[in-house]
Amino acid sequence: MAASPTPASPRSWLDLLIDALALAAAALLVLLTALILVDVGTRYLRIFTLPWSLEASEYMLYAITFLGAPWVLREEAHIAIELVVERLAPRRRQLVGRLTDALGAVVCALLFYYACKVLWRSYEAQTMVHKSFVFPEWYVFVIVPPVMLLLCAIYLRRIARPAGARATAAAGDGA
Amino acid sequence: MAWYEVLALLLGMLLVFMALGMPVVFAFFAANLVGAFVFMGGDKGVVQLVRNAVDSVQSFALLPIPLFIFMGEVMFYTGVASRAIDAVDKLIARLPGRLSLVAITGGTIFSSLSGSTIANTAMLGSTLLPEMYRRGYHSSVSVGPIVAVGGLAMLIPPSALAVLLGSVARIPISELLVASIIPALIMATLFFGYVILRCWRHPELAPPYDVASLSWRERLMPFVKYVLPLMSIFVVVVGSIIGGVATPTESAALGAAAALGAAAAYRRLTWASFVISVNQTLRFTVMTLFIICGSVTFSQILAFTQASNGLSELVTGAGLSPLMVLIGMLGILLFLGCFMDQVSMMMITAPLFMPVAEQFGLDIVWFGVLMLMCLEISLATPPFGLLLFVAKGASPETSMRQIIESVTPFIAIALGVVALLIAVPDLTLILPRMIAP
Repeated sequence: MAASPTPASPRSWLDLLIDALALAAAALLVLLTALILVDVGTRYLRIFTLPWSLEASEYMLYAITFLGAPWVLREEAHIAIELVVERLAPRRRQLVGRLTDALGAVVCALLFYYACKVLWRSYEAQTMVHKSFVFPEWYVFVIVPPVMLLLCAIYLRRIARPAGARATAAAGDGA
Repeated sequence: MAWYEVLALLLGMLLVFMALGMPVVFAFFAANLVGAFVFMGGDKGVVQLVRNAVDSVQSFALLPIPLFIFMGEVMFYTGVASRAIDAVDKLIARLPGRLSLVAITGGTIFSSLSGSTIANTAMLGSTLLPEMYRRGYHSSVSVGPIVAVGGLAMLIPPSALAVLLGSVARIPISELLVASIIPALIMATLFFGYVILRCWRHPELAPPYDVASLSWRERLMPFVKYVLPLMSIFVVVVGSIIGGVATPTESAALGAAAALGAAAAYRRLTWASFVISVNQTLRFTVMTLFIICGSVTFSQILAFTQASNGLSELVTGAGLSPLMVLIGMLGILLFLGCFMDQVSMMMITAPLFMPVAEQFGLDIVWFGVLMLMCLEISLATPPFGLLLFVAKGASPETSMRQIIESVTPFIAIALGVVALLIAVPDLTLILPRMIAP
């Protein structure tokens, strides 16, 4: 597993933005744990119930995943299988690294485009979510385009990085 | 396009992207972008992919994952787990391979408090390996048991990956969590017995040394003080599931609170340890759940193009017995495990295997546990087994070859347990049957 923190230095606005999103994800993680605990505790002690807590927890889990994704990519902690690549000669490894970074950038750019499309269609259709909370559906999608754009920017920055600065990342399961 | 061409195209793209070293989540996204565009109606298919990614992690079933990981990280970073190991160390006195037995017992205990195999292995490696090497232990009874028992965190609840498997394979999560307990305990017991036998026959592998002479009280009290209260957390987590009192999410919340409470009670909870626990939990949660976002459309494309059904019908029509099919599927998992991570393996195989398992009338909880066992074994199979690298990190002076050799007998034992569970399904199913409706 890759776990080598290799943020660019000096810290750019991009890094600050990634850090801010990760901090928000961490805060949501703590809040999520606290919310489930309070919900379970108060329900069993018959003090009060929080009927919206389940739905709120689901949204929080989603937000944590997307807000934290750029940070995990920057830290090169996303799981990758380096079995083949690490057997290549250094120059070829560099080349393959740039190729996969370019592919990653294209994938994220496409996802950005389609996420904007989903967001716009939902906004236009004025679709509403009717569960514990009632709100326009596009609120849910609003997080995706900027995250995909950030992921794309991280990949582009990696491509622009001078040869040799690429951190070697191993692979893993994380749990 | 015939279903097998679709399957070959999707799997081929996925494996090529992964082999190039692309993060698996983006390899899934890339293959699915092509698959959704080609097979699910162009733009419409990709729009659906984005919607799927967003919906996939808004799931109550996945909520225990961060909580289970958080439990383990708190135990690890507050040092509560290593104190428990010290207590076990005092309890086990003069058995052959003493420190190896401490590793197995401590690792099993920590597995019952942690949902992270990495935290388990890293904790045992950093706590016990230096002492083992100082005492002249051979790698076969030092690194081997640590890697082997490290993976038990994946089986014994709280297990984050069991929750994930239950969620993607639609296996009742409560039943899957408790069903893994007996197989894991059998495995730990066999590891324990193997080490005693090996060190008894070859004392040079673990040279005996003088252990400080302690009274029974001095030996027992640390166990009572530092281990038994932690075991009560396990009892609360598992007991609340079996008793039907709590859902896995609720029991995970109780476990997380209890882990924080225990760390605070032992006066080990600091702001720094809390922050690093949250940091590590966030890292593992995001990398696991983001793979679900990336891969969820994979199973949908397979279903939409009839590839899942086609494969299922092909296997059904091949005249194979359920046992042969089962062994085939487990064999594929073990093979994939040599070079792929556990989450990707689940996301690729679950949509293909579950319809086959159901067609052949296999109990899905039993099958889920067997899948988990194979995934757990894969953590230690060369060349990619994750825990091999964690052990290497904890013990840089040990060569990878030595690590692999030392783990091999334990993999053989684990495979033996898989065979036992196939022969006697009740060993797996007895606990889930006890869950109150």
